[in-house]
Amino acid sequence: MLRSVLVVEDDDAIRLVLRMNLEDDGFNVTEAADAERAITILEKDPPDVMIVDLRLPGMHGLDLVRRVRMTSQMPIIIVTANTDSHDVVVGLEAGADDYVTKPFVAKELMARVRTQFRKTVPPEAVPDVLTCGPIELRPDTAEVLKDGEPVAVSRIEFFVLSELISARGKVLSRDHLLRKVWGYGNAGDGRIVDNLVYRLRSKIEKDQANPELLLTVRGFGYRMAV
Amino acid sequence: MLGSPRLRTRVAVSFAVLALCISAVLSIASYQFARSYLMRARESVAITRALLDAQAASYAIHTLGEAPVKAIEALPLVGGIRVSQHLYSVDGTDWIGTQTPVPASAIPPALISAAAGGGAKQRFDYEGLPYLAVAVVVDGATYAEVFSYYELDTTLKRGAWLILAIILFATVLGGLLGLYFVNYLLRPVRELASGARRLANGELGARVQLTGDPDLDPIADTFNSVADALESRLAREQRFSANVSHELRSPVTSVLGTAELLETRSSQLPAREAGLVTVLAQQVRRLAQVLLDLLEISRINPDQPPQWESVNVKQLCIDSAVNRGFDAGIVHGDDVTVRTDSRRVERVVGNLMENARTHAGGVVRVLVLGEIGAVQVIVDDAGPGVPEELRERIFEPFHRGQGSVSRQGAGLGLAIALEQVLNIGGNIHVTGSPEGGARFVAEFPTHEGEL
Repeated sequence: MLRSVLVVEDDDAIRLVLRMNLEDDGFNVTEAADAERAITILEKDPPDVMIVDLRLPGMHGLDLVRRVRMTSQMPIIIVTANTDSHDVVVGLEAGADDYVTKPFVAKELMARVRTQFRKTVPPEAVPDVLTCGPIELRPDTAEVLKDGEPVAVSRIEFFVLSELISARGKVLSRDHLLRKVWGYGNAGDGRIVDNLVYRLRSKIEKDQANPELLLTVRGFGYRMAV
Repeated sequence: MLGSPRLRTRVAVSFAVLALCISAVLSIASYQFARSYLMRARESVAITRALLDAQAASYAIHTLGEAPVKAIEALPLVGGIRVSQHLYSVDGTDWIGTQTPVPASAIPPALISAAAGGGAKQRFDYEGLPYLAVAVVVDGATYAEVFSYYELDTTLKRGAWLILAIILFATVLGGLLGLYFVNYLLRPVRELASGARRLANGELGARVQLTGDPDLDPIADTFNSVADALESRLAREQRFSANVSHELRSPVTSVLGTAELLETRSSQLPAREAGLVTVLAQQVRRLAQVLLDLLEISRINPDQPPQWESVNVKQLCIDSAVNRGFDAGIVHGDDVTVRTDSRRVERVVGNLMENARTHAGGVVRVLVLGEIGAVQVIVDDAGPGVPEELRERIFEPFHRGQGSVSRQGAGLGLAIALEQVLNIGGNIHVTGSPEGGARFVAEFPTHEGEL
């Protein structure tokens, strides 16, 4: 079955180019020129991944991301025109999993999309179940349980958690995670990792402000408490 | 402090010199006056005393018929003035006397001859001490008395020391007063200077307060309006470049995407058109890269605050080299792990390597050197080296080497490397490599402190 991508972008030319590139890559593409139309499509026929330009006429892309995140773990990639504005930070905080900056090379965006569809956990993490304290990971079904209760996580969140748990308390740098999970070649943007960890904590920690499971190691990165 | 210590010194020294002159003239004049007054008073007392003593002795000798030795010894030694001795002589040479700390021979002969007319006085020194001798002729005999000046001299000396101390004190006080005065005068100027410094450091809201002084306010006012103009101009330019960047990004993205789609379909196109599409895609990629590079260096504020984390610089250089199509074997040096911003270090190293490839025939070596609190990354290229006079200019945007082997690149790579290394508190300079090529040395400090 073809994976489906929803492209939310008001610029017709970019939408066309994205559609053709994605179709060349074997995706099923639906398009929306604004957030309102995107919401209709999301309700009727939810896609596997969403690409959102943050600057949309009418409802802002950020609001769309927040709204989708309330009910869905679907991977979201945001498109921004500015790295130096708060767009990136706010977009990641709103729940985006990755971002690209205009002008982007279509191949780069395709790679980001494919990352979101990675199927398997890294081969070294073979065990059926990964555990760490109250957290249980089921690599075969990409499920996360906390105290036996399922926790809704996105694919990327699952991979980050599985990397950290497989490291058995070893510190993993942001750079390492960006390479392993997101597939960034050269140094990527560490803020992506920070925001994802922030979101993961809200799901698995008792008190998000005082994490007991997913710990920050200042100046180095992150590790799991063992 | 304000960069004008010379002015402060000048004013302080002038005040000190003025105080020195005034206090010296006044003190020395009053000292001289006091000194001569005291001396004269002392002399007149001495003369009176000598006359009275001489008359008393003469009376005892001539009227009462006492022996001169007895008469002289009987003279009183009391009184405010210490008398060293009394002497008596008939012919002015053979002296009869008592208490002789000063021998008769020490009395100046000129005094005796001068006394022949009735009386005379003379100051003289004996064994380093000052004395006054008074000689009086009464009834054909010469009486002489020697008075010590010792006490008066000591008093005057003490006075002189005191006056010297006063002069010194006044001089120092004058200097301090000058410093205070110049500080007071310069306070508004200092405020102006600190405002200018804050403005220069990028604090665009820096303004100076008007003091109400008609001489200084116009300057402060001008400064403020210059700062206003600068601030609004910069804000305008920031808005402008943000708009330009936004308006350019979208069309470039779609043109780039279109060109690349055409490129992937070029096998379906006639050969001529396929060639054109290749050129188009190449040029659009270049345009997109120039746009990105330009945005990166034209930003007034860095796109994001540095992200400090522990980075193995050598490993980062190796990864960067491999990712950019260089051989991992070109990277040498220390295996150092420091706290820095890996993305920026990669931009610096990567751009230096790309620069070597594009403009100087390739990278000879990348050398990582760990130092105390800092790291040096050295990139040597295979080119002819950079002449001394161009070593600053090559870091300017759009500068391309004269003997550049290639027309590739917009000449922004080094400008970006410099921009990014400055963002993490470092710097870049260029020298010569041992092989005669250019050696780019990027140095950046290890970031200490909190994450």
